[in-house]
Amino acid sequence: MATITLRVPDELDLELERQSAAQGVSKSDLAREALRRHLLVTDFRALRAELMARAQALGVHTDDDAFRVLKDR
Amino acid sequence: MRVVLDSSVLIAAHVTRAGACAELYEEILQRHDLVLSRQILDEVARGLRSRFLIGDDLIEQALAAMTRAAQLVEPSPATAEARRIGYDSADRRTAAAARADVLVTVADIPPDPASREAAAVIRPVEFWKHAQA
Repeated sequence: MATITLRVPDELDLELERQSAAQGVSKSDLAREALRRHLLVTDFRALRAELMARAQALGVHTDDDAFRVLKDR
Repeated sequence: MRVVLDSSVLIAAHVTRAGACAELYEEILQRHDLVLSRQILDEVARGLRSRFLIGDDLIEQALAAMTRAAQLVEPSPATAEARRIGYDSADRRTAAAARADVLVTVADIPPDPASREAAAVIRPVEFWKHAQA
């Protein structure tokens, strides 16, 4: 596992301390999980923007539009 | 919560501008544990390719991102009762193998009476009610 060093504002460190104690997990675990989830969401949004453009060209804008297209198989 | 999404919900989350699916997918990425199976991902690939005319490169990117986001499990085997009545659902069997709390689906799949599945089977719009419970 790689090691990175982050500089964070004091307030953020305090919040990490507080949540770490409340959840019974280390600050390192907490920061790692938050970063992992943030990257997954960022990844999803970028991918969705590309896929959405293709779907819109087919007239698909909403969930119901998508379900209708899938059902027409 | 441990959450299984069916292929239609996954596809809708990725291709639509408005709707519950994209919102619940982000919510799961941020606060819950997503569980999928190779069978569900294969169905996603088929749907994106055949119904939305998405190219293979983008489909590969989508599957890779879903794989990074999820724990993959091997679906439980179909029960003898499910085989007998000709009813089978990879989504339900994935939820059973995953010991999922919820299966979010738009399919009308009746419960398999022989299965001991514990997952609540819900529609996308019902997700937040379960997440808050």
